[in-house]
Amino acid sequence: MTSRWIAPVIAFSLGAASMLVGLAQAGRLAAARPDALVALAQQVEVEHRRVDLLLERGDEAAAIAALEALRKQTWPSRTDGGDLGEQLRHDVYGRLVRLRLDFPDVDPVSDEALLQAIDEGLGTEYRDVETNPFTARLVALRGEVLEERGRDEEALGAYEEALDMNRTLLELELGEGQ
Amino acid sequence: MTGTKPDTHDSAPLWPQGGAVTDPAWEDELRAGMADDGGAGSVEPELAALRLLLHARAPAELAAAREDAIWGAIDRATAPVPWWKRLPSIWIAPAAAAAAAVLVVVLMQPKPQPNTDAPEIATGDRKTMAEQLENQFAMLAPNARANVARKVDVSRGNMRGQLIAMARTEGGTHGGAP
Repeated sequence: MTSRWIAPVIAFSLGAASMLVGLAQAGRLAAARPDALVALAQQVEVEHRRVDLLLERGDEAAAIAALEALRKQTWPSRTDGGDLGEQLRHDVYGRLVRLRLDFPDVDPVSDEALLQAIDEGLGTEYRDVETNPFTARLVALRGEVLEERGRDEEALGAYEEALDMNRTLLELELGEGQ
Repeated sequence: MTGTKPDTHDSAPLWPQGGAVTDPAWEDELRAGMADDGGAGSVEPELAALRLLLHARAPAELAAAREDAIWGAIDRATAPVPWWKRLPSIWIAPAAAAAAAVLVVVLMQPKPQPNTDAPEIATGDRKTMAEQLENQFAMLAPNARANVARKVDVSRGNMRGQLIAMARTEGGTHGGAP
């Protein structure tokens, strides 16, 4: 009599466990190639420090050029680099666009080219990436560029999207703090 | 009884004609007595009792046509309503509810704004939103960078473990250095 229930109970437990694991991993795609992620993280860290130094020296053109060079490298796919790889890319593109907006006279590019760079940096799956400030910043910068072009409705949408992400992050931080 | 009636103190029999209480002459006597009293009072209660006694002696019967009419009316009143007559009432209520809901939705819908009122970021808010988002990024970024570095360290540790395991396996397979 008891053995009749064993199979369904085990099946149910396995199903529930799989679902919980799936939910826990939702939006937290791990890198399939940790070597690619580690190499990328090291490269990005070095370039950020280099850009810091260039900006301290007041060489914005070199800083922008360094980030443009980093932009042109081959980025790992989301599968290979995971969500962290995506966040690192969003961080680099965000810094580049910020510099472009702050120093429009240095190696000037059109707003259209800037939007293209932002979309390239965000990728098509940025909404699936675990919420993080780098993605939120790039989305906000998209709003800023759209606003510059007079596309206020789209700009508002981007701002609200970025604000929602930041709100989630702030709530998480407040929750952790408590 | 509020009216008058034959004097019951006389030694004469109450109904000398040998009539019973159901004799219709009693009604005449009652009305005559009331007339003698100047029409004061009422004999209706006594007459009602008289009619009841008359009916008990010889129950009145309804005419067949009248009886048929009454039963016909009862049949019509108690017959179940056919489904095709009930159908409207089944559908009218949900349809009325749906119509009310649609009406509410239509009434609650914001009125279309003229083109001049299309979403537009006020000049004063332009810098505010972008600056607010940039400030939020500045606040959230340090923690996020530390988080990324920690996760990359974990990946690096995993990768190192995998490399060591691979080296040991290869060493065991190929014999390795003596």
